[in-house]
Amino acid sequence: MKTIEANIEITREGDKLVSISVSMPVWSKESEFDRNILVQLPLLNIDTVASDEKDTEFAIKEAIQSFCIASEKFGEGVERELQALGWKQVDQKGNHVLGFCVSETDELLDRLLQTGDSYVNPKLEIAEESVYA
Amino acid sequence: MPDPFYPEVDFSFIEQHLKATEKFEGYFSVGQTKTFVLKGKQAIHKRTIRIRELSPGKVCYEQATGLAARFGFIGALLAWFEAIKNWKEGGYKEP
Repeated sequence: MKTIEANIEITREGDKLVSISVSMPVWSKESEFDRNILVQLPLLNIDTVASDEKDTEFAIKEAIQSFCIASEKFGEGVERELQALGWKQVDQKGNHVLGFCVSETDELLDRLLQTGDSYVNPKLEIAEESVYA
Repeated sequence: MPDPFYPEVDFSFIEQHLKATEKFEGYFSVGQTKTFVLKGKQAIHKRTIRIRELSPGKVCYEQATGLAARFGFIGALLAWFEAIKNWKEGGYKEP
């Protein structure tokens, strides 16, 4: 038995990634140095920073969009880059759905993942990046 | 007494030092998040670094020192703190 703790559904038009639907746990805490909020998305190996509670949502969104753009442009594509992070194809019917699964023998990991806040975005658009350099 | 407010760093200073390493394959930004991608064949999550500008053109102390340690410009950063922010050894210097 396995529990799916997070999932990402990838929507492409032809080869081009247009949007993803995402649900995954995130953690945040106040920085010891200032009043900023440190945000972690360990299932994507990402940490970022937000200026306050309200900004956290934007920080997470930008981080996930950045991961997708980097994967597409500089890596092997979102699907394979997620697999490199331990995500698995959990597809039904040929859709591009990847999940982060925890087996029931790994109770501790399961409990840890339950302690996160849940970030859910049914349609996160992956826009063209603005290249600044 | 250390001052509780740690100084921010100009993004342009960090950017200049990162680019000088010539370790990066590319850069892009999404909103306030800048991503630098390191050259190499490793998985993308192992070769991306992100900087988020909480105010325009500024990088917070924690991100700046983390990057300076990783990419070898701590000395230059400490000199910058002292010259530009009048900040040394954990506190602002008396005028």
